[in-house]
Amino acid sequence: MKNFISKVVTTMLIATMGVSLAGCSSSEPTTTSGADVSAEAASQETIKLEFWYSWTDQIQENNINLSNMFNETIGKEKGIEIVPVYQGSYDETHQKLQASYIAGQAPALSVMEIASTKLFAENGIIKSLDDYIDRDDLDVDDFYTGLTENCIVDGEYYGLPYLRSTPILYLNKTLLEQAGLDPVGPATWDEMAQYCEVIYNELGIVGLTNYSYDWVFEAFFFQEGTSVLNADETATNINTAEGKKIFSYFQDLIQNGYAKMYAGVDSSKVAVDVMNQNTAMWFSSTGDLTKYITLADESGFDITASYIPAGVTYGVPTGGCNIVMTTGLTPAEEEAAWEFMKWLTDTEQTVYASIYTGYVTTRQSAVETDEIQALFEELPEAKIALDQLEQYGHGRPMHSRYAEVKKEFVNAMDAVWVNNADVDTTLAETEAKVNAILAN
Amino acid sequence: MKSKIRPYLMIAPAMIILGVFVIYPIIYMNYLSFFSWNMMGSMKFVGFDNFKTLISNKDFHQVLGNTFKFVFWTVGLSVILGLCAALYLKANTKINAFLQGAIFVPHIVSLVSISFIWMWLMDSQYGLLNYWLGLIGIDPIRWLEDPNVAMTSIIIISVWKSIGYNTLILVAAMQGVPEYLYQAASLDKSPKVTTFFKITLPMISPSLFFLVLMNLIAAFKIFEPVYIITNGGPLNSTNTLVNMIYEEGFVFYKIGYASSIGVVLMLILSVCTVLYFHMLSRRVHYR
Amino acid sequence: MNILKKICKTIVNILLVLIFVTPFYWMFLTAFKTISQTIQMPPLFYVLDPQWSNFSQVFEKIPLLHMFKNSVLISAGILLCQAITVIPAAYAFARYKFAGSKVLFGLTLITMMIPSQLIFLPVYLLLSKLGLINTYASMILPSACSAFAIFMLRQTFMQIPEELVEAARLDKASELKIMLKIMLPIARPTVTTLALLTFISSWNDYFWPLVLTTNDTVRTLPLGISMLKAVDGAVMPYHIIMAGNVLLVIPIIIAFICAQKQIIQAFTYVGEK
Repeated sequence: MKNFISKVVTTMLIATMGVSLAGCSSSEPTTTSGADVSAEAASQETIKLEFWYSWTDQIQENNINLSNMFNETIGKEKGIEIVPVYQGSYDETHQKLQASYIAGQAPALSVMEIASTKLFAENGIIKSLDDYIDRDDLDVDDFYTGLTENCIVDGEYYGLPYLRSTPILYLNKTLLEQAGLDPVGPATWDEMAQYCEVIYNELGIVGLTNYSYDWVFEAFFFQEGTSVLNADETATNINTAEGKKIFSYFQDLIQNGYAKMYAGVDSSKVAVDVMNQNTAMWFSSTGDLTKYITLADESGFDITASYIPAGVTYGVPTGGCNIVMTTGLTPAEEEAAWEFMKWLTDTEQTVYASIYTGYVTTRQSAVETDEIQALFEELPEAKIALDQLEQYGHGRPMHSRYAEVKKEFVNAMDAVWVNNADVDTTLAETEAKVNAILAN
Repeated sequence: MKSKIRPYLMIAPAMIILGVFVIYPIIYMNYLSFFSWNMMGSMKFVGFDNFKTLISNKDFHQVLGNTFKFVFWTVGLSVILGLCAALYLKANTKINAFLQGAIFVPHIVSLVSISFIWMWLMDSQYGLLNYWLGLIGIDPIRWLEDPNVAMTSIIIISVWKSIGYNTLILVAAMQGVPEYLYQAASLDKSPKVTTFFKITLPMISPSLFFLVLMNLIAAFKIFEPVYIITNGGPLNSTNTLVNMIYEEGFVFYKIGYASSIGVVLMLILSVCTVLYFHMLSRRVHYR
Repeated sequence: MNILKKICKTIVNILLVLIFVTPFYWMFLTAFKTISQTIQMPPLFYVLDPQWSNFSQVFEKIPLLHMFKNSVLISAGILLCQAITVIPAAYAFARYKFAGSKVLFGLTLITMMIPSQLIFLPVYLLLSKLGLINTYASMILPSACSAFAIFMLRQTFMQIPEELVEAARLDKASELKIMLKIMLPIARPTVTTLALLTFISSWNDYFWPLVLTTNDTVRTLPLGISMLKAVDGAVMPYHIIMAGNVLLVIPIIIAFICAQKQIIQAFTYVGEK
């Protein structure tokens, strides 16, 4: 009998140990291509840092390329290895970042959609960079001011602008010319309505396609001289004269067949319509510029871009992501992470990233380089994006529960624009819900 | 003495795992439902506040309604259609075996794949379904975009996936019905419908009951298709309890609130289970 | 009359095949299309120039082989752990009368009714406190025991005639020997069945990997495939998603074609009890 017990117990122990050993040995992350960088003899002292990023395609390639470049140069010299890890969309990245922080498994570095900076700073997940900025005399004023707004929480920097953007209006030049319209694009919302009508009448397709896009939605409010949330973020301005105007304006366009609106979950449908030339105008991030140019080339049409039309003024939110450093790193890791952040957002890399992806050039010093000037020559749309940012860029709301608020905004747009709900009741309901969230 | 502790030692590994990873979490979840907590700051005791918020939350009412609608139709349709398919396929032929296999495959394929495949088939503009409907002159249906249709689409997907399993079990049950019963029926010249209700149905009722319970539990935990295809939208129309727990807990980090939804789901599941065993015991007496 | 019946039957058969096979055909087909072919109307029902590059793109976007390895390791780990927890427990519940056995068995049955989707938050908190997130242990432990399997196996053990055990006891065989050499071989059909079911469900599992991983270390295939859909303002890359899907589904479909009889028997067996 004793024999039996001891056998069972030993088997169990071995099994448990096997499992936990497997667990231990697995703690070093393995990834796509970043980890392939050859570890040299000196690798014992190499500090490995995970760097989380969002999105695939050019953005993914850009992140992997930059990480490799760093590993091969400064990284090699200073014994730092950056391991890029793909995490899906921004929302998924944020969700995983919180989860991993709770588990004590946070990566050293991550991209962060700018509206979430405050939430993560307040919860102590990301680290204030002020000490390092002061120590190294980092020239943060070189970044465009519209971009640093969302990096700062309570007067301290929590991130550095990385892949940043504003929404712009993209135009299918070929279609506009076919419809006999000026391909410069509409400057005001009234002109936009006229453009859409002409396109509908001439070509039988919708003029404008959009989806329930919370970010562009913020732009609509800026153009009416207001914003989606009030200044101290205690209430929403959605149920105001401006809000109603915005909702009714698009509802009219949609009902006339001049515009098409997709639900929030169907955002990818816009690109499909663009590709099939079922629409002449659409809103998207400047970060999609190279993607749309390639797409247009392949499908045989020309595109251009312009400011998002003006209401009482022009105005757009900035967007995209900053790079942030998490808390809880050892001093050596922190130093290494800072080294990478600094390098990644430095002039040269800013130039690389903005040419590779189409995201706006974040540094004034980068704009002055020959490469970017050449890019502007070749691709005036890139300059349009930057000009819009410089003159009319605003920060995004930073309330720590903005993720929930965003969902309500998307629901309101889905209701009115996609499912033809009544504007007044929808806005009143949304206002009540959002204010309750903000009050909590 | 030793032989007395032996059974305890033998069940110990199982009990420890179940205790730590099922029993303890369910108790802890109930505990958490009385707190306001975002996993990072400190926990604040709030009494029944989470439940009060839940009860007054219109979205939650909708989610409850969605879940029940989903469960009712999915379980009902997949069991009834499974029964029809089983009647159709019960004869032991090669063609039937092949068809049974074909119907069964979705059951063993990952829900992730199923979700993506159907999301693609149900695409309103470029999906195969609408193309075929167009061929027979039906206007495109906004399968996943229309708040009035989306839940039906999710139900279709789930029924499609689970029908094969139900068919399989019921075919086996029907093949297990002793032949002499049918022979007696045919001697009586009773019509097929009568034979079905008088012989087949009572004989396979244990399997049917088993299936209903399995389908019920599976239906209440519906998550993947909702999360992957619609993320609860459009307009909250496909949001179900588990998806809401996931969103409130793991996206918005309202742990206490999410736990209180979990408690509601736990109560629903308990009621189902108790009802099931109650009916089962009556059934056993009857037989 | 008979002919009419036959025609009807054929039509129904064809319909059934269409309903249940077409979606998979569409998956395979899409996996070989270019992106513009995916959004072409009327749709193409065949491709002349299959795009094998779709598959290499899957490899570029996610660490596919690594995830494949994880899927295999984790499914195998779960199988092993369940063998260790389930077999002795089922044996004890079937063969011994001990104080509290009814309560404990009842408790075990109750856990059968609790889906993982209900308790994932506390489990996540627990595993993070233990520092196990992103380890194989975190993916295996929550599924390391199955109340359902204990229940099934107990039934089987109970059906084994007592005389067999008595005879062995007379031969002075140890209890371990009785369990492993006599009981298990008799219960082999149940054990293989349960193993098959466990393997399929852990191979397909999406929920635990979604909840319990925060980086690629132990992420499995289903999660990897679902990560292919994150595109920012671009056409949904169905051609690539379906390529990933094919890679995920193929092992299961091949296994099904090769072992259709066993798999069908396995599922039937469980349902019959």
